[in-house]
Amino acid sequence: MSHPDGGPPRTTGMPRPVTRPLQPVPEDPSGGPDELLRRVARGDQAAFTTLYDQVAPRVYGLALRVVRDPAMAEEVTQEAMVEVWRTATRFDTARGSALSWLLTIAHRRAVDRVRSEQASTARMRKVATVETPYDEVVEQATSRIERQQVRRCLNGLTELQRESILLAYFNGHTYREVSELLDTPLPTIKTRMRDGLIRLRDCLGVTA
Amino acid sequence: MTMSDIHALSGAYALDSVDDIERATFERHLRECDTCAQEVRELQATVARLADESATPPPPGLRAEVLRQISQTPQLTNGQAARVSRSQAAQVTRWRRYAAVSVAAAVAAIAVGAGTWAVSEARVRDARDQLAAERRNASDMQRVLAAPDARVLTGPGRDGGSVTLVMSRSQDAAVAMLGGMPDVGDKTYQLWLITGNQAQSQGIVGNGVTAGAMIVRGLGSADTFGVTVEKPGGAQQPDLTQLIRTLSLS
Repeated sequence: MSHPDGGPPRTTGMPRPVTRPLQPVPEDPSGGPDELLRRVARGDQAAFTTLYDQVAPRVYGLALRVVRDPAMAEEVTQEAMVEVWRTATRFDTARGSALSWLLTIAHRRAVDRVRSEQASTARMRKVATVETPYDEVVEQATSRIERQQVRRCLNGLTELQRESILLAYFNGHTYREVSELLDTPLPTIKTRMRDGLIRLRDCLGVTA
Repeated sequence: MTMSDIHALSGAYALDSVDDIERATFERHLRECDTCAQEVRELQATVARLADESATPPPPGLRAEVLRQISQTPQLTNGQAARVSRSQAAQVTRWRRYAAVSVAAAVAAIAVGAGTWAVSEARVRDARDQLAAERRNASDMQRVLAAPDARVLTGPGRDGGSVTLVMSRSQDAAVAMLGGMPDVGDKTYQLWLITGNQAQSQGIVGNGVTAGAMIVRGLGSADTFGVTVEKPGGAQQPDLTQLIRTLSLS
């Protein structure tokens, strides 16, 4: 890099910058979900409103992916957010991030909804009748996961790991159903889900 | 279920890909296994990342509706939360509270879907009575599942599936759950409480029903819980050649 005056680099003769050990970037600056949830736990409705605005698109989007019906996804989002309000006092930062906790609540609600729908259409007793064209689902799920890191990490899994995880998470299938859909023994599916998630965790650098 | 079996369930659990019985069993395991609890937290955080790019703007009216609802919804009191953190066995208590919530949701789902089989109620014609009874059953179930002395007993059925009992001496009641049992045609599964050599029927499950949950009231001094296959309508005494599973309550 040339300097207009042609002189030596400006830093010469300047006091050396004080080096400090790098501080970890705080994951949650004052207004992030973790802090907001702590305030929600104290009954702060304004904090809840901010939290809603931050997380509702993710909660709704996840619910929609799983239940595939906008009206039902709306109900799931509503139930999940009210549960977040109600049980915020129970949230423990030592047990993970607020976002992860909240999405766990929403996902479980969505899955419960899918399963009770399945049950009410009498599909519960014979899961063999599930007819989801899984490759289509997996392709859809993969293509819609735009976030490069997640996609890159998913691509690092074996096909069986990836399919098992996506079918379970986005379709609300039990691993028994996944085992039938993929025509693979139960213990194998169970193991692939776990080692797939572990590989994903390491690839994404997730800590809890 | 062996230890290594249940350990391998952490992935399926984090994906919400287990059934209600496995969930209850696994959450019990988490209570006893700190490293597993840590692994599950990490896998749940990993799984949450899958939702990264699914974000979709929710319908505009939803915000106001949620805010209206929370303004009318009491939060769990600090007292309840404080009890948890003060408790010497905080981890245990926390698990039970957590389990109570999730299993309660599962119970609600079962009530909607497969139908809670409640023997005496099964023949109640009036739908309103039945609904009230199911609500009562569901709230009794929740009380059992949330009880501080709740214990989970589980074992495989003789011909497949699993039998799980969550029992509470303090509530003098238990929640019995059958999962993935083979269809026994026009016969039925029947539940028993056994005290010494006396067996007392807790009711039949109903023809063709292979999964579900049911409240068992009045454990008294019973030492064993058992499931048999019986003729349609059930039997007065258990057919011990058709014993599917026993669980020791002591």
